[in-house]
Amino acid sequence: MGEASGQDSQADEAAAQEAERDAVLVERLREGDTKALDQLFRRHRNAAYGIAFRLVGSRDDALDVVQESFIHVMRGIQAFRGQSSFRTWLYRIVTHAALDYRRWRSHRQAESLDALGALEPAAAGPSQQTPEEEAAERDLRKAIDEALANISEKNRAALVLYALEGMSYKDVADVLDISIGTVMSRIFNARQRLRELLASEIG
Amino acid sequence: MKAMDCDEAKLMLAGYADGELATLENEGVAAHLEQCGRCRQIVHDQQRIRHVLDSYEVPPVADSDWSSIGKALKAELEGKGEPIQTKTRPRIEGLEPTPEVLPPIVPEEPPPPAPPAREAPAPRPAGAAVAARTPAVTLLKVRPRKASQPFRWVAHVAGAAAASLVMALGLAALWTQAAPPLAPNTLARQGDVAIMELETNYSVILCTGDTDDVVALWVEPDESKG
Repeated sequence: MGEASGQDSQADEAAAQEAERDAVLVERLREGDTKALDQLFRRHRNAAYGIAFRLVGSRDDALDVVQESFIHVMRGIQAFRGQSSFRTWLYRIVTHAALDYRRWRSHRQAESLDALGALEPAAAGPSQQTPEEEAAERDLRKAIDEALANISEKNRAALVLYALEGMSYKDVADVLDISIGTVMSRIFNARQRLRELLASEIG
Repeated sequence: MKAMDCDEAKLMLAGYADGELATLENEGVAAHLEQCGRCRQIVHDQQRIRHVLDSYEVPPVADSDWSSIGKALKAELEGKGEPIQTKTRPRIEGLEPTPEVLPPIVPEEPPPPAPPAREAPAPRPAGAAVAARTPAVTLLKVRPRKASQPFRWVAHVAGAAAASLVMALGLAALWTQAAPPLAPNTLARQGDVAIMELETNYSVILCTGDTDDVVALWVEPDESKG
């Protein structure tokens, strides 16, 4: 117990230091420092992409969302008052931008007859798997993509944010501006729905 | 401590599965699980789905892609070239002139009845209040249309009608809420008002809106006009 709380306090301290570094970079970005922008982008781009990809289901669309999110950051940085950490603010922007993007894309695809569920398969990287294992993983990934597309926006956003490394219910609650109890309820409902949708894939 | 029943425990099963509960709550759920196989199965399912999602890795991004985005952002910050038009407009602290509170992704409650049409326009409220006052219309889409020469006059008439319609909608929306105009090439959100000049080679499509009661408008410039 004592060990766990010691680890928690170390994690809190590390998070506070990261937030402090972000705050310094934010101040420099306000003054138009392009190096500060570059550092903020490098520090947070992978997490932003992780959120965006799980919400829009396509690599190219996720990169679009990341770019747009950082443009929103640049345009809003003067008015950002630091009531939350930069990370929380950015994740909030990415989450909402990704959900916006899905709506925009679904309107576009309604015209082109491209189905929303036709999510791009993951890019194949170097792998030690057999072709059969790769095929099984690809099928499962596709099933997860389709299942995620079939749960509500609110529940999906909570689930996706919690899936990010280092995010707690409290962090998700801050990003979505909801209570921890609501986070717990949304994650519960999202998983229960995924369990139904993936019943044939995961048994 | 009073033993939990399934309804009480169910509220905390995800938190239990994720180790996010406070000590007292955790002990209460654990005691319930000793007696309840159904809730134990739910916890197992929650952990199973979590494991499946944890193993789901996003596809990697090439350094060249990150580099392209980094350069575009730098150019934007330095004011080089045309400002990048965004498809998204998240309403978040710092991104909008007035709202300070992030409104829900979908309004939690149905909008109240619209105010009388002849009332003087009130100042634009912040947050969800804007959504509540938004007229429940629709998607309005304006896109380029390729008119052949013999039918060009039809395009002129349609363009004029479309311009009138959009202006009327925009003015009507302005009458009920003092929202700022929406720039072209942006996706409108609740409370936005769009006013624009239409050229003749545009057509207007009106569609039914979704459950958000969003006035949404998408504009695509006619690139053939240069």
